[in-house]
Order: sequence, then structure tokens, then C-alpha cells
Amino acid sequence: MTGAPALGRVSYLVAGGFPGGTSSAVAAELAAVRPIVRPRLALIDVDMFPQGRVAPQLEEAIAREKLAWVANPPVVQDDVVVLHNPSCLKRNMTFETQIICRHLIVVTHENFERPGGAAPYDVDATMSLIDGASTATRKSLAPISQFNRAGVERWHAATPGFAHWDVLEADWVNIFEPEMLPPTNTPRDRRGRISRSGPEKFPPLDALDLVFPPEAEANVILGADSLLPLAQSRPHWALHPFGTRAVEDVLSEIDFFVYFTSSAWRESFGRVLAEGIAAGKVVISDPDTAENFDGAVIGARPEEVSAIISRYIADPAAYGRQVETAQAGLQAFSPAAFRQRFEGLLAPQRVAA
Amino acid sequence: MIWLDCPQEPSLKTCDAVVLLAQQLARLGHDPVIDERMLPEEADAPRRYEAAPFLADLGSLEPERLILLGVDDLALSALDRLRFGPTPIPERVDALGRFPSRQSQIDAETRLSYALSRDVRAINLDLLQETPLIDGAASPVFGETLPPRRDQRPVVQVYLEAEEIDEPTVIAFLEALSFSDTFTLEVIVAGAGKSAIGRSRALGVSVYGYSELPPFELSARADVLVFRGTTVPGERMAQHLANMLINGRPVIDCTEARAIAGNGLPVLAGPGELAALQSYLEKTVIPNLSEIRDTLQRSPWVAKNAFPTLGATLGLDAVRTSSEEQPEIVFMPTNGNGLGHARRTLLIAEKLSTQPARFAAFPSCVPMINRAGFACDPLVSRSTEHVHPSANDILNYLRLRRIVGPRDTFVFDGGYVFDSVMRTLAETRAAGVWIRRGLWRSGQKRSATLEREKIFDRVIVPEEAFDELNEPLSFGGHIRTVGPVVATDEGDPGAVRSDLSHRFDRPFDHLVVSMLGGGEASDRTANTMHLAALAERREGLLHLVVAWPGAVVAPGLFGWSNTRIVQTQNALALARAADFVVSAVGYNGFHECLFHAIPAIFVPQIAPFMDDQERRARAAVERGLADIAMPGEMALIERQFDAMLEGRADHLRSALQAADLRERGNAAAARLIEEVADARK
Repeated sequence: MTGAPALGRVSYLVAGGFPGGTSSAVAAELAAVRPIVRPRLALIDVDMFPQGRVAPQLEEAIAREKLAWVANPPVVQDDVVVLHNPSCLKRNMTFETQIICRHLIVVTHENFERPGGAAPYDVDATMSLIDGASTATRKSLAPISQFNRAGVERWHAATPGFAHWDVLEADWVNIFEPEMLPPTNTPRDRRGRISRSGPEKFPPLDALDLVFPPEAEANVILGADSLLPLAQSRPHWALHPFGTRAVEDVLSEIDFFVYFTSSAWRESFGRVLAEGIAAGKVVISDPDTAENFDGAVIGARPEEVSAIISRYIADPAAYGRQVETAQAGLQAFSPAAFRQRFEGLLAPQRVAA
Repeated sequence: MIWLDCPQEPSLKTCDAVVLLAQQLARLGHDPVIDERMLPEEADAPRRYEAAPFLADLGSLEPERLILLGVDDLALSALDRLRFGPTPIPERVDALGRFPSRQSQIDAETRLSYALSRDVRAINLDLLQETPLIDGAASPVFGETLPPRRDQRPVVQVYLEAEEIDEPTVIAFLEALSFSDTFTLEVIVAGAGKSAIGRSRALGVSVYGYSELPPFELSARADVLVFRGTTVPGERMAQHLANMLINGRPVIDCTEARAIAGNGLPVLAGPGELAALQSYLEKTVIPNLSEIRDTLQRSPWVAKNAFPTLGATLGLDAVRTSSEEQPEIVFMPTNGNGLGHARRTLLIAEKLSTQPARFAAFPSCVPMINRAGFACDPLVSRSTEHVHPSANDILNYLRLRRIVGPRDTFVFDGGYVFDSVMRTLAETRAAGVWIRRGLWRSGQKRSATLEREKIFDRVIVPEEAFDELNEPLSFGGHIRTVGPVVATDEGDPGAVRSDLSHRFDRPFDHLVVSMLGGGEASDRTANTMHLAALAERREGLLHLVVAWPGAVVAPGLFGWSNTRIVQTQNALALARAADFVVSAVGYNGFHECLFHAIPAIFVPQIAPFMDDQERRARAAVERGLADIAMPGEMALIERQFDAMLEGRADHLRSALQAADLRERGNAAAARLIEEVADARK
């Protein structure tokens, strides 16, 4: 194909069936790198998704960027092959696609560890499938955030047989370039959160009670499908099932985005938090998740949330500064920033070639 | 306290799974609890009994740990029930499941961990046990150590599917097996099959419904278990099977395709034809029980499938220490339609000499028992106000299993053997004695209650006074008869009369006592009013109407000048003081009239669920020892009433005093109970 020859040729290897975040991230990435390379796309069927399914985000990206793509190729051969989210192979007993390249990069969207150290999927088995199917002079794991990196590095250090792999130094961050809205000058105790409805997205009930207390002016929860039976006992919660309200509408009703998950699970990135920041909100989450945002998200324990909110309500200027600083931090997730890192990563290979 | 749950879609299967494990943990001395919401609406009575000891409103409790079963098939609704339930999730959560792959195990672990905000690691039972007894079981199915068998004669249990009972010769073969002189047969079959055997002419085939007793109690009774049908039919029978094998008791696989043996379990492949089973058992199995036991106990399967394997994995050691409590004899009289059962058991308990006795009884009987000097735990009477027809009996079961211990002797006196009685005996393995008076109506004789005789070590039948009334209801060495159990109250009738005269502030020449019963059995208000009217015509006559404590008395009875209402638990003292009595013909009242020479007009109660009072009365009438009138024969009662006052009473009293009656059985019954209790020591 006709990719920018200076950087070598790049193929993306993706399970077409990923319904949400991974496909969105890949689509954004394809658009971001398009000015410097013309990647080829190999879409594979995996056992965890229906055969032949291609996410609409990927279909759009292929059409928009005029990319060459192939379904279930027996071999993917290029200078660089980027495989997104190895967890797609977690239900596979075999992996039939052969990968031949100078540099294989496996982007670890899903964490390799959950809090406590257990694997959230059979990482050993899926990585062994990929390793066995690939012939490459360099094989790298590409973590997508600080928290994600910590688990990947621990796994890499503790797993015999993967010493010939390395972990990339820079995070392979999600690309994010929304419109930035200004913060309010008069923050009020209006709290809320947005997520899918899965059990992993919610903390235990006692923590939810702490962060969405009756004394708050508003507690708006989108994605609250499983909380609906609690509506009667918690009339101070405005509960909306996932998909029943527009994200921007919910964000317009709150000043503080308060996001805690099950303590046994962590976001590998936390795109919804970035959306909260972009919408001009102060965002509060657990310290692990906050770490991914380098100060743009306030790390706290549930019992500390109300005091933090009170401080910002009492000091609207501080509220404004926090939002503006956080929005500036989001520049790290821009397409330009990603492109720069991507180019830096591929450049040494140009020399090697 | 250990919280057990099965986070699948709620079903009878998930309920069974947690209850089976709860029973095992309780036997080890732990304190398991189950969220009351785990009991499905459709749960039948046996399941309600078995779950009752463990069900709890978790909101008031703080369990130390949570054990989850069947986590290979998680339901989101069940996870929500746990995470949004009233009890905080304990720090320690263990999860058991059967996982075909490492990824499926991780899937379960992550879903549980996320929902419960705990780092949950699952245990793969398939790896622990290697050869699962049945596919898809939520229950862990590890065999438990059984108490040693006490009987000399081996018990062979045969499990059949209900459909097989419908085949023409099957019941005949079962009946033939039940006459083996080598072993005792017990049949296990689903409810419909049990009814079919009950309706047949087969004699003496002892049958247990599939869920009539917990698996452990079925195992504890058996030396050999035979499976027919197609396969192991569910988790309860799988548990029974595991218990047998762990204890070296042979399991014979006579299923159609020898499916159990084919699954790699250490069972014997038995004959396919029921006709060949007796010979196989008598020649091949029973003579080699000890060799089979030795072989089984060396089996690697047994080591992997014994409860200690699971206990070690979960960190659950036995905590129970052996009880040092002295054995007791616990009497439980039903309240029937009066206080007869309670009175009879008191008369027997008073004759005990070697062991302490206590009672568990319904509220109407408690004061009488306490007055006799015995401790008594109250039981709960049935009520239409309860949410479930078995609610009171489930509560009684919970009380009885606390009162009765394995070294005790439990003596039940009543016609219908409650589930609570049956289960308490099976579960505690206390010695069981059934005091069962005879003279059942013909419709009662094949009823389910007689079939429950199998749970008792001994049946004591207090005889009726007259031979023709003593028809045996069942047969066997465990049935023992004793003379009539009758009170020996020797109070002075003259003193009672003067006391009554003083108490009611009126002299009288004639004293008539009516005790027609009533209450639940039948309303005798019309007869009692009639007697009050008859009494009103005579000067110098005092008519006492005996009402049991708590009985409803018609307000109109209080308006008569010659009639007084008396609430007493010693009606005998009044009857002995009377010129004559007008009485129902319950066992106690009848025999008291005979043995204390009290002239009587008998007015039988004729409710279909009661003993045959008319037959009993007529036996005395035919011998010239009493008069009889049916409740509707008002004119006859009037004539008899007048005749009594004009000499008939004296005549009857002389005849009664001359009658040749058999010896009382009070002490003999006590000796027979003590024999059973001594054997238990």
C-alpha cells in the first residue's frame, strides 16, 4: 500500500465486533495518524463477538479515511502491526491470523490487573495466543494510562516467557478533542454521574449514599438501571436508565461530576471523566482513576467528597481555576499530541530499516 | 455466622443447594444463615421445613463471611440482591462453581468482584472433585461422615422413578423384597409413586418420598442404596449417593445404561431386572459389606469427594463439641379434641423411674403438665391466620429440634404424626416411641399417618378395655401393647361433694356431671342446654358442665339455676363424686368411667377424623355397664336421665364394680419407654 514510506507501513489488527470504547478509540486513532501514514486495516472475527460484525465507528473511519481493509486475513504482514485490545481473544482457543512484522504493538485497553492483583480476563492465555501467532523483531505492550501501565508492567515482570516483549515508555493514550465549555461562576451542590449500568461501574451502596447525600441540591445518575429498585428509599436521587437521556443534558444539570466504581474494578482510561472536564465540571473520583489524568481529576475517598464540594462552592474562583487547569491537561489527549508520539515511536525504525 | 447464597436466577434448585450446604455446616457446628428471599414462592412443604432453621432477615445480622454457590451461572438480578441488600458484604467471600475453562472462572470472579466490591476468587469444584456426580449441580455435593448404624439388620434403600411404579409387577417385586429375612427394605420414590404404593395391596413396604427427609437422614438410615431409573435424579439424591460412598456403604447402579458406573464412580453395577435384585443383594452384596467398605475407603474418589476436602478449601473445620447433657425422655402429646393425649402421657410419665422427663405441648395442655411437676415447652397451634398451612408446624419443628437431642428418647402421643415430629426424629436420631391408641375408624387405617410408623423405634398401643375393640393397626416386633392407661386418682368423692356444696353455696341431693367435649370436634351446645333444662326440673340437683380451659361456653348456659359451668383439669374427681355422668366417649373418659365405676350415659362424638367412639360405647352397653344415646336422640337422653336418678345409676355402679377389667398399663408403658431409652445409652 502507499503509506508514508518514511515511517514504514503500518497495519492495524482489530476485532471488528467491539461495540464501544475500543472501536471508538481505534477510529479516532486512524483519523489522527492518517496525515502521516496510510494504515491498512485487518478486521478479525473472534469468539466473543458475532461473526462478521463490524462496529459502525470503524465502518465510518474506513469510509472517511479511504482505508484499505481486509477481513480475517491468514497473514498480516507490515513494518508495524498495531493490535488493539488483546482481551478480544479471551474466548478463543486458537488464533489463526499469522502476524509478521518488525514491530508488533499490542495496545492494552483492558487492564491486566484489577485492584487486588487478580486478572480481569485470562491475560496469560490471550497473550500466549498472540505471541505464538506473531513473528516480529520487536514485540511491545502499549499501556493506555498510568493505572493501566502499572498492571501491565507487573504482569510483564512476573510472567516467564515474555522477556522478549517490552513495555512502551509513553502511554498509548486515547484520543480526545472535544469542545471545551467554560466553568460556571456560581457552582452549586449539584452532583451527578454518567456510566453504563454494569455492576463494575458502581461502588457499594454505602459509598453511593456518601457521595449522593440527601442534603445535595441534586443527585443525577445516568445509567442507574440497577438502582431503580432503590428509588423509593432514596427520593433524593434522580435515576435515569442508560440511554434515556442525552449526556450533555445531564452534564448541564450538574456542577460536580462524582464518579466512583466498584472497588474491585478500575477504568483503564475513563473517557467519561474527560467529557466531564470538557463540559466545565469539577470531576472527583477515586485516587487510582484520578492518577490517569495528572491532576485534572480530584482523587478522593467517598467520605471526603462532600467537604471538597463545599470548599469549591465557597470559593467559585478556585472552582474556575480547577476546571481551567484540568481542561488544559486534556491537551495531552489531542490528536496532534498522539501523532507526535506515534511519529517518535516509528522514527527509529526508519533508521533501522 | 456464615451467610450462604446462590446468585443464580431463584429456583428450587438454588434453594436446595444452599439448604443442603447449610445442613452440612450446621452439623459441623457452624451457624449458617440464608437470606429469606432465597426461598421461592413455589417451595413445597418439605423444602420449607428444611430451609426454616436457616432462613433469616439478614438486615438484622452481620455474618462474618459469605459463601456463594453455583457462581458459574450468575444472574444480574441475584448480584443486585446481594450488593443492594440490607447486609454489608463481609470481607471474606468464597465462591464455588464448576468451570469448563480458566476464562469462564475469571468471568465469574470478575463479575462477582465488581458487584460485591470484594476481591473474589472462585473455587473450581470440577478440579477439586474430578468426577462430578451430576452435571450442572449448584450444590457442592461432598459426602459427609454418617453416624454408625445401630440396627443389626441391614437396611437396603431402593430408589425408583415414579413411572416405574406404574409398571404391573414392580410393586409385587417390592413387596417380595420387603419380606427378605436378610435385610429391611425402604423404597425412595417421588410423591406420585409413594401414593401408588400406598393405594396398592402391598403390605409393609416402607416408602419415603423423594424430599420427605433430608439426604443426610436418608443416608443415615441405609446400609445399601440401589438406584433404578435412568440416572441420579438431582442434587438431593446425588448428596445421598455421596454420603453412602464416603462411608463405605455400597451403591448399586441398576440404572438403564449403568449411567453412574459409567461416570467413573466407585459403585457396583447391579442387575437390571427388579426380580433379580433380591438374590443379588442377599448373595453378592450383604455378605460382603465389610469388604466393600474397605475397598471404598481406599478409593481415591472417596478422598476427593469427602466433605473435609471442601472444608479444607474453605477453611471450615468442625467446631462442635460433644454434648454432655444428660439424656431425657421428651413427651409430646397432641391436643387433639381435648386433653386426652396430654393426660395419658402424664399418667405414663409419672411412672418413669430411671430417667428425667420433660414435655413439649400445645398451650391448652401446658398448665396441666406444669401442675403435674414437669417442665413443658409450649408448641404453636394451627391457625387460619398463619400465612402458610404448615407455618405452626414449621415453628414447632424448630422448637423440637432445639429441645430434643441425639441421646434423648422422644415420645409422641397422637393420631397424626406431624412433619415436625417425623423430621425431629430423623434429624436428631433420638429414639422414637409412638403411643398410639387404637380404635381408628376404617377410613383412617390406610392413611398416611400410619405409614409414618417407620420413623419410630417402638409403638406402644394402650389397649381398650374390651377385646373386640383391640384390632391391630400394624404388625411387627416394634409394636407392643399395654393395658388401658387410666388415672388412679383416689380422692374422696364425699369430700368433693361437700366442697362443691360449699363452693356453690347450695345443698344438693344429686350431682350430675356432663362432659360432652366439643371444641374443634363438634358443637354440643344443644345437648348441654338440653341437659340443663332436664336438671332444672329437679329440686336438689346440681348439674356441672365441664368445660376445658379455653373452651367457648354458650352464654345461655349461665342462666340456669341448677347448672354451673366448671373449668377444671381434674374432671375425674368430679365424675367420681357424681351420681352419674353424661359423657363423650374418648379413650380417657370412657376408661375412667369403667375403672372408677362411674355410671354413664355415653353420647359419642362422631367426627370422621376421631376414634370410633360409638363402637367403644356400645361395647360397654352390651355388657350392661353403661347407657348410650346419639347426640340427636334427645328424647332418649331425657328418659335415660330420669332413669338414672330413679335407680339406674346404682344398678350400673354395682355392675361396674363387679366387672372383670384388665390391669392398667400405665407402669408397663413407662417400662417400655425406659427400655428404649436404656438401649439408646
